[in-house]
Amino acid sequence: MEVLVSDKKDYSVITLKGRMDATTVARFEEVCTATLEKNFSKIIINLEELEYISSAGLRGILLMEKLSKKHNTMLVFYGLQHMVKEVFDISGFTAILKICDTYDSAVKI
Amino acid sequence: MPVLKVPATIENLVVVNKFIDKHLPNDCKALQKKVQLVAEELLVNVFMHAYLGSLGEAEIGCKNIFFDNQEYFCLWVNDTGKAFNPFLEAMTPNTSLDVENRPIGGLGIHLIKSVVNHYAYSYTDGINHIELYFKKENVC
Repeated sequence: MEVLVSDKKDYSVITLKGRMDATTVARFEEVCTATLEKNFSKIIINLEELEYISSAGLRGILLMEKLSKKHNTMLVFYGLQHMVKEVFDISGFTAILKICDTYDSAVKI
Repeated sequence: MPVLKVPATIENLVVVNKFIDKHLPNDCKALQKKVQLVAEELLVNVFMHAYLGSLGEAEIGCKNIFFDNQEYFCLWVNDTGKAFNPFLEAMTPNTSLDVENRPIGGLGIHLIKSVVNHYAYSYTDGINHIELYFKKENVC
């Protein structure tokens, strides 16, 4: 999985590409933890090119959500592909995460 | 019937995914990510818990099944670790809890149960055997 970070003036964008599974989730956790340390009020997580997620990926996302509360940082996800959306739905994540359809709506939230 | 035997370590998920991609029938390509998902969830369970810290192996295979007038694609996994029926023994997660109250983990077996049409477990002669069935007419 490729993990890219782009810091803007008021927020940061983390882009995930490929597969978030038991072998790759640590990379997301590492990058997201470092980005949370910057204390932005918001981190936008771009999932447009994330094609696969397993429960290991969900575990990483939940861990980062819990950590974000301690930093008073809001995590906003957008661009869910079909498989990722289905896994989020089954796990109840759709109801507990902030999810937008587009980058523009994630910026505005 | 294609079969793959791998050391029970996380790194071998890549090998397992290549095996699935190679042997998934052409009429089931739409299932690819779901099959990879259930394989990962089962194997991570085996890799983390079956051998209690010692190195074991997992065996993965797939087959087409005609059962009660219905065609299925079946993925199966064997291990020789301690007897463990994940479908009975894994806790059912409460998926309505908010972020603060959610425990970390525990979603793997729930995902399997949600995406397959049937699942089966047996323990015979020291072998845990799990079969996961995908109905062909729904998804292929």
